[in-house]
Amino acid sequence: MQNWKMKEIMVMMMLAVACGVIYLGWSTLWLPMSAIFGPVGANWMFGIWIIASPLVAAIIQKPGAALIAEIVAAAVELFTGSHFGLSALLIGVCQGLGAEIVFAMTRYRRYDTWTLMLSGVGAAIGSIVYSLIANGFGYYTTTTLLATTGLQLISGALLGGLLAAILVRRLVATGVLNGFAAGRAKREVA
Amino acid sequence: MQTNASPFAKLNPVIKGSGLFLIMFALIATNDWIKTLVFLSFAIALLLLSGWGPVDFLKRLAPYSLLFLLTFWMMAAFGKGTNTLWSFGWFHVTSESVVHGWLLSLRMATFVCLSFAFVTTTDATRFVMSLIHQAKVSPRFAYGFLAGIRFLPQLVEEVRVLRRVRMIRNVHSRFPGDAFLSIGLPLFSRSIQRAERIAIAFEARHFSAERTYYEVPVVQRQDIIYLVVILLLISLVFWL
Amino acid sequence: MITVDDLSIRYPGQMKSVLDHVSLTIEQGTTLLLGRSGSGKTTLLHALAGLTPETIEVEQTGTVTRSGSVGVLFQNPEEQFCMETIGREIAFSLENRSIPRAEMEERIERLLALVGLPLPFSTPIASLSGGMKQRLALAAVLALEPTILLLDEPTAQIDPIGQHELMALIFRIQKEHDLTIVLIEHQLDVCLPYIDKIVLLEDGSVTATAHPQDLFPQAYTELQSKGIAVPSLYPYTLETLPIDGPQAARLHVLPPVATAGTALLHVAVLSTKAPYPLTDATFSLKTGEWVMLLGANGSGKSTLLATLGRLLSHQGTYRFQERPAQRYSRRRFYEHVGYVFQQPDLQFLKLTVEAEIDWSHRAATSDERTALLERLELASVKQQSPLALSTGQQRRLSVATMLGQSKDMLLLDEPTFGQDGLTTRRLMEQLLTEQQNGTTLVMATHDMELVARYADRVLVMEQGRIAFDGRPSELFADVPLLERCQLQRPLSYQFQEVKRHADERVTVR
Repeated sequence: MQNWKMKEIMVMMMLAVACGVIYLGWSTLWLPMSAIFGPVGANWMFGIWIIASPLVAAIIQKPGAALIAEIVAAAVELFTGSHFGLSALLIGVCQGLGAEIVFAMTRYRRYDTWTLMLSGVGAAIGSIVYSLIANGFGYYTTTTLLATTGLQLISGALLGGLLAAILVRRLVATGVLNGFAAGRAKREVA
Repeated sequence: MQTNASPFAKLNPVIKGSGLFLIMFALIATNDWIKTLVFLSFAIALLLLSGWGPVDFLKRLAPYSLLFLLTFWMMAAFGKGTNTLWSFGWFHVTSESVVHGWLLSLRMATFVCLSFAFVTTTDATRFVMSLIHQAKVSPRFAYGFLAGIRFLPQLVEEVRVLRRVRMIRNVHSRFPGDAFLSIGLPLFSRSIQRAERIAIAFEARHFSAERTYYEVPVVQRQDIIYLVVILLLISLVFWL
Repeated sequence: MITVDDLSIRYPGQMKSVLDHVSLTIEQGTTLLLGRSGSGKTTLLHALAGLTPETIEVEQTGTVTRSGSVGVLFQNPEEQFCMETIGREIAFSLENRSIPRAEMEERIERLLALVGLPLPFSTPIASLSGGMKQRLALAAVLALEPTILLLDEPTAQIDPIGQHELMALIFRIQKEHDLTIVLIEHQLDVCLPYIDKIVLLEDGSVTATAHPQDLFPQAYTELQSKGIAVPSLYPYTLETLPIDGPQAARLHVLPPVATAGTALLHVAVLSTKAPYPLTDATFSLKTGEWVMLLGANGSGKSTLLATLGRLLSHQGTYRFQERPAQRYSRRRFYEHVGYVFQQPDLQFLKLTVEAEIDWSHRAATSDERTALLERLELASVKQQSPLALSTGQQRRLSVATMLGQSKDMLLLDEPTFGQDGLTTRRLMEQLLTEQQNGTTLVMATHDMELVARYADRVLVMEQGRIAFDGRPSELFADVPLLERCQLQRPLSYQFQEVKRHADERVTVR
């Protein structure tokens, strides 16, 4: 953690907090959705909740970025005084770990679209592991459980990883990332 | 997150949080709704120690009765089980799923009470300072986090402006995530530029990990007692 | 003292250097860096502070040597704090210097008193006004006990009253503590009397160093034509300003000719629910009117704008073009009404400049859209992301996208806040054209010069009510009201008054 520049730390924190704010808005949509369609129907929305990990990891490209970003984004709930603060933090750790493992497997060398989508899948797996242990997902009927798992994996890859990849590409185009790993990588290719 | 004058507010933030996490792990580890109920009562006791009066309970917890029912309903209607009580469309209620629903909604209620006990008695800055001193978090990350979290209200306002702009300019989502993309780009680009300026301001003020501290949360006897009580409670519940 | 020797700086990914072989010596006293935006003055200030090439990563050659320690005050007060309360914020500086805990409280107290903020340590920073925030930031910088103070447009983001206070404070402290100051500032009339040396920067090179009195008024016309900020009065006062000089010409303002239009909207006893402050507003607007909303912070300007733009729910009557505003579907309503927010970059939703215009002017032909891009001087950057533009370009584009195919009404929330003179002037010209096409403009602002120059009519807000509704000249004559609402009379109006008095004296004689 000593090789992080202050601006990298700050960008991670600000982006994670911004993601946290978006998560809050997304949560208000989630409740009515899940009441009507049940645990399965609302799960297509899952991916947005883990976008901080691939987004920040792809920008900073350093070990720990995916994990810390997701924990910070989850901590936003805590700091807004939310009733789910503590459990959000636990889920954040599981999701962040899932995403971080994927980047660790590339030895923190690859941040292309496929890797980001895979990290979304990793985060989804982390989330499901948490839900199995803490939210009693194991008590659901097998169909419900399989459908939920499948939807979360797909959503994690698309709404999490793919969306993050698109966003990073567009951010690079605006020039704001010129001083960061994502912006530098683009320049060298060009 | 802010503090008040209650007994629970006097604990060291990291110790307080760790104790609450211990209870949460214990909750997750049990499938017994009676044990869960014991933890729920303990959580309610903590809320009393957090300076909550009866009005607070009614006002702040009332909205969660809905969530409580929802959690129960989700598991009851979609959980597995063989002894069907009622079924309609894709809903399938069994006696097993009802028991599981009851367990999970109790667990959820306890989580909510524990979180409330924490967030209504803990000052944000003091918590982060405690992370530095008790949890040995790097000061650069901790202060960076504090600076970032300060922008929460501004970010909320910016998201609101972006949504209004979408409405005024008559822009609508064409696919899931479309709104996220069009709101996220200006929001994140602003955040990145702002983060760089803050980092410059930090270094211009000679920020470094080598420093003294204005506020140093310490671990006191009351913190040890608190941890011992929680450990005793957990072992007692699991023995019986 | 700071010595700069043959300094060149280039930002990564850019072809051109921002600073090109700059050599200069900063001595005791106060130095002003002057130049138009993009001339390299901020980069030079950062280099003087030692923030380049490491904290701000740049390619740098040449040397900067300093004798003494440096403190920097930045433009935006929000973006230099990292704590929640004023006491902790100053403590943060002291912690960085490893000051023992036991000494902190006394030092914090002394610093707060020094900048005129004798408040409890636990006061939240968020509760301070812009001017107070900047004074707190100054205290936090002074806590580092610098001998050289570098200031990057410290008054750009605060309201006019706070600007004068802050400047006076800075120079008072300079005297007491014998500080060397390097300053970037556009409010030249406020700071020039304190300046010992002006360093003129053009395109990354130093083109002149001079005492202000050797530069003004001689170089006035030349600098103005280059788009560099010039003082309105300095070295004169209102009384001594030569009547036939270029400065007097700039202060000569013809009040706009009111164009009588037809009725556009009418509101009566309009109010909003708490926490929004609007309690009672009744007025009518005509087509083609340019109305400016004035008032202290929190008086209800933004709330009134948001209510007229149907962004907040309201009680009372709101009729737009003879029909209750609520009768319009959102979609129909915003075909008639546009809204320009304070931050231009939050108004862009497309990936390129061209796509923004294509969307907002989708009813126009492609030739018309190309012509519009030419007119806005955005044709050369049409393939770029709107977020990559300069602030001035972003401003012009944001107004154009909100106007679309000429709207009936455009609501603007402090669109010139924190902008330099050139950007402001161009934006006003753009708005003037729209007004002449019949668009009603309702604009919240703090800038009284703009009021004198462009407003047909002024609404002054005070505690959620409309305290004044009339022509600008009537407002400027009402001194008690101006004082109550923390408004200053524009310089151009004051100058005319002085002239009138002088004329009267001449006739009497």
